[in-house]
Parts: sequence; C-alpha cells; structure tokens
Amino acid sequence: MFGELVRYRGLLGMLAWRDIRVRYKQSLLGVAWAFLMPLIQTAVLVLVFAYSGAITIDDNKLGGMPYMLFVLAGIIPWTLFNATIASSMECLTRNSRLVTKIYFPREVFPLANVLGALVDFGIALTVFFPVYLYYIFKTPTAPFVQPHPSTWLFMIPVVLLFQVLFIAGLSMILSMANLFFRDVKYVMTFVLQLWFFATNVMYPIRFEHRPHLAWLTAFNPMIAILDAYRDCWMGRGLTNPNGLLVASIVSTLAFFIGWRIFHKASFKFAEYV
Amino acid sequence: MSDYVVEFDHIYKKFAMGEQHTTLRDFIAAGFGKVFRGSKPDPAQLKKQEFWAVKDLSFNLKRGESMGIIGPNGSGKSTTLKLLSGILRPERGTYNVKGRLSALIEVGAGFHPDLTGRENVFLNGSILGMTRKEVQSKFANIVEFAGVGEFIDTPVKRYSSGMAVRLGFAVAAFIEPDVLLVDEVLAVGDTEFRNRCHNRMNQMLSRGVTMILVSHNLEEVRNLCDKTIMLFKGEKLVEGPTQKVVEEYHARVVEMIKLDQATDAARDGEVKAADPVEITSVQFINKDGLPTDTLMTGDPMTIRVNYNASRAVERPHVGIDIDWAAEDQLATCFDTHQDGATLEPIAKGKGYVDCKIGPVLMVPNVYSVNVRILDADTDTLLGGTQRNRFILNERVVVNGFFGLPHRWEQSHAGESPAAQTCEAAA
Repeated sequence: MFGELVRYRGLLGMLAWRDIRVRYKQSLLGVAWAFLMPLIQTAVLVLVFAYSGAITIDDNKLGGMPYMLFVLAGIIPWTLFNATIASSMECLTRNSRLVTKIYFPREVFPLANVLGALVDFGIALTVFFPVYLYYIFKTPTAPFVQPHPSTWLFMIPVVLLFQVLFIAGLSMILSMANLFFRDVKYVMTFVLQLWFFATNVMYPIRFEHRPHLAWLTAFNPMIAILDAYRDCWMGRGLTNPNGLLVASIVSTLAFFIGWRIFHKASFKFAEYV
Repeated sequence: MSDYVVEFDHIYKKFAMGEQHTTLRDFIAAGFGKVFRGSKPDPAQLKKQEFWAVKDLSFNLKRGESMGIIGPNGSGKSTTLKLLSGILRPERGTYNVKGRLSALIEVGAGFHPDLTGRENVFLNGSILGMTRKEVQSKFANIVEFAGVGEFIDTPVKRYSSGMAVRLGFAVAAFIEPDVLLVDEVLAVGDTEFRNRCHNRMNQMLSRGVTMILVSHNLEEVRNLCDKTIMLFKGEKLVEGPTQKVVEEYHARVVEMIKLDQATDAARDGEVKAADPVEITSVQFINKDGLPTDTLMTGDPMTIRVNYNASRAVERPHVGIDIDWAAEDQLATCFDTHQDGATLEPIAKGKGYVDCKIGPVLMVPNVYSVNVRILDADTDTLLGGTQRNRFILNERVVVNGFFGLPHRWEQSHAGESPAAQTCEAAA
C-alpha cells in the first residue's frame, strides 16, 4: 500500500502540477487569485465585525491578537481545509476515464489534490507575512499585545502536518463516497457551511462559560488546530495543549483509517464510477 | 517457479446488469443486514441481475509470446485486459504477471485539453508509469513518431482528433514494458500511422516483450499474434494457433449468435402482443443470393424483411437501422420515406420486402439491425424487430469507419489547381 505509492510519487507530483496549471491557465489574474482570496475574505470579515457594529466581537477574548491578524491567521488554514475538501469530492469522478482505463494506485487522486491545495496555501501565506510584520512593529493599544516571534514558530509545520493528515484522510473518504453516491457532494456543501460557523475562523470558540461542553471540540479538530496556529504566531506557547493533542490523534486516525478504507474499496471504483 | 510471464488461472469476474448504482437506502439496509445476520453473501455466487463477464478463464504466456483475444462484443475481452492490468479484481481465481506491465487501453485517456502537447506528453508518460527522465530522453522520438511537429506547444484541445490519438499512442509506444496489453487502439489513425504502429509492436515483440492483443480486426491478430483464444459470453471457446482459431471463429460465433437470437426471440414472443404486421424474420443475403450471417466488405448485400400481415396496409413504410452492436450506435439507416420510395400495398398474409444495398464499405465488425414497418397514412407502428446481427468480415480493406466509392484521375496537360481540387471534392 505504502511502497506502491512511493513508486508512483512522480505521478503524484504531475497530477498536482496539472491541477494547479489548469486552475490558473485561463484566468485573467492567474496565480494572483491565491493572494487575493484570503485578502478579500479577511476584508469582508473585518468590515462586518469591526466596522458595521451589527455584531461585535469582544476584543478581550481574542487573546491579545489584533482582529485583522486573528482573522487572517485563521482564514488561510481554513481555506486550505475548505478548498481541498470541496475539490476532493470530484477528484475521482472527474478523472473517470483514467479510473476505468489505466491502473495506478487510486490514492494518487485525492493526495495530488491535497498537494495542489498546499501550493495555494504557500502562496496565501505570503499575504500573511506583511500583515504579521506590521503588527510586530506597531505599538498596540490595550487589550492587544504585539506578536513575539519565538521558537514556537517552528511548531507551525507540525500543526500543518496534522492538519494535512486530517484533510487527506477526509478527502479519501469523501472522494470515495461521492464516487458511489453522488449525493455526497450536495450534502457536503451544507456541511462545510455549517463547519465554517462551528470553527473559530472569525470568532474565538472557547467553552469558558460551559466547560462541561468542551469535549464537543474533539469532534472538530480544526478548532484546536487554528488555536495552535495563532498561539505559535503570537509566540506565547500553546493555550490549549490538550485540545491539540486530541486533534492530532483524531487527525492521524482519520488519515490511516481513511486510507485503509479507500484502498480496500479502490478495486471497485472502475465498476461503479 | 514456472517460466510463464503471464499466468491466468481459472478467473471469474461478475458484473451487475442494468443500473449499477445502488441507492443509499439499499446500502444502509445491506449494512444493517450484515450487522444483524453477521453473514456476507458469497462473492463466488451469482445473485439475480448478475452475470459472469469472465468465466473460468485460464491461459499462460511465456516471454516473447503474443496472444490475440477475439470474440464478438460483450464476450469479456476488455474485461480480461482490465483484470490483467489490475483495474478490476476477480471474484475467484488467481493471476500473476511478472515484470513491468503497460496497457495501451484507450491511449490519451490522461490528456487534458487545456494543456499543451508537450505538457500532456509528460503527464501521460507518468500516468503510464514512466519517470520524468525517461520521458525526457524519448521526447524527440515521441514527437517524431506522432508527427505533430510544431503543434507540440499548442493546447491539445486545438488538435484534430487524429492528432491527439497519434500523440497518445506515441507516448505509449515508447514505454519499455515486459508485458504489453493492447486494446483496439489501432482501430484509429490512417493506414500509414497504423503501419508505423505495427512496426513498433513488431519491434517490441522481437525485443522479447510479451503481448496480449484484443481486436476485432482478424487480419491484425493474424499478423501480430502467435496464438489466439476466442471468447464468447466470458468463456473460452477455442484456443490454439492464430490461423486455426480465426478460421473457426466464423463458424462458431455465427452459431452462438443464432442461438442467442433464438432465446431472445422466444423470450420476446412470450410478452409481445400480436403485431398487425408481424416481422417473422430478417435475412441477410450475400452476393450469391444465399442467406447468411457473415458478409464480406465490398460485396453487395440484401436485407430481406419477411412478414406476416394480419390485415392489408395501403401505404406501408419500412425503416431499417444498422447499429454497431457493441456501442448500440447508429452506423447507417435505410428508410423508404426518406428515400422517397413508394412500396406497393401489403396484402393480408405472408410476404417480404427487400432492401438491396450496393458494395458494403463499412469497417469489419458485428452489426445489429433493427427493422420497423409503419403505416404511412396514420404514421403508426405496425410491427418491428430488433437485434438481428450479422458479422462483416474483411475482403476489401476499409479504414476508419466506412469507405466511399471513388476513383482517381490525373492530368499532365498544364495546371489548373482550382479546377482539380473542385473535381477531387466532387
């Protein structure tokens, strides 16, 4: 299962490259979209929450993080999650000719999809850095504090690894499910919408007043993962280490269980696609 | 250790008939059933709506051997290739392939229309299992073989279909496999390109590649394969030297198709209410005036529609569709209404209508014929019959889909390019 995938790593890269190439080939702004998307999304959220006054976020609950930075640090990893899951749904059905005609490990499709999305994630990060630098040097007004880049920054790739494991596991399950039942794609549109609101992208989610419900966050590893990213950027150490531990276990399990199920079912794909 | 490169040992593979998608409800119900009963249905048994696409199939190939698989449509040829390449897993039986396996099953399947020829060559190369380096070292050869020249940096969506197919095959032709599976890829392209492909395959064979070829083109099988197996409805009917099997093909297959038609007819007869004009049979009559199910390209043929009318029809109207039996796609049709032909009134009782066709210049294949008789006054269907099959074999070479009657002319007396092209077009 694993050895075969290593043998086909060249194909993995080629398919990821194809996806990226095709995605930006006929758009006027090309790769610029990967920069623009998180910027526009952040601008919209900042406008709604900080300036409209219709809904207010308690500044004291942002952990000292300026709202703009808070949103940006959340929305970039969230976009990685959301975009990959949404596009993974069709990564097998879209390639049905390859699935029915030529043999290679089918895992390549969802994994190449994740790889392609990671490139977009890298591009989007370059938007984050100027904003991050600005807040490092800007003297903040209370209750905000300056980010202190520290060794915690090295923790970010680890958090990313667990996030990618979670995404890849989920991608394999969902791409497979959508191959057998096309309803999955429609259902997931709503699930992803709900998931966005159940995740701390535009507001913090902490069960401070209802600690007995905190176990619910175990079902959404994205909460702990986004918290961990923000803690690392701020350089203050993990505020919710237990949450991250649970999230990393859930993610790793999701990956290996997802892969196992996908691999076992993959010999039926050509008959059902 | 056996010295066989390909071993196929009593393989069974089943498919479900009709719509393959089980609904989510069935799926959940089956899941609960499994939990409560704790038993799984035996995969080696057929459930209703299932049939064996490949049944108890065995064969062995040594290094450098080439084997053809022939048989009418739906006999399990392509399924066998898919089992060999690992796309499908058999329900029963074991198989073993030693060394690197490559399949020329619908080449160019991995082409993306938005990418250029160059990008697609690299993409397709890696899909077929080549490394980037390998493709790089063979790139010039691939482009030359495909003959796409300066179009190599143009997106494939702007290629003609012939060019795309040539490029697809060219990539596949430069893999260096130990076992090569070929599925009718050579049915496309012009004669020159096909010859180039044949040469390439002969080269591979002489280098010791083991090849399995699936084809309707018996001539091709004869040229490339030492031995051949003949499949019918998933079972191996004949196995042996190619020449012998090809000779036996006609006799046996026609017989089997007849048998098949008889069961179909019997089944249809049970449910069908009596037609006003019952079509009792459809006959194919060859150039010698004899009814047969095997016709030759380039010969004239007659389709005879025998009927038994329970009432007279003042203005009858007959339509005949000829379909490619495998794809259920219309190849051509004959229609008295469209032709402006007027048939004489049909009297009560038995009779026949002939459709006389000139030289049949369609590609050798299995064809399925549907016939209907209508009342031109009321435009109502009086009677019809479906799926009468005939096999068209090669006497005159027909490339592509069909041939057209044509002749060549030449002149040495001065040049008149415009007039010449006009005449050629006419």
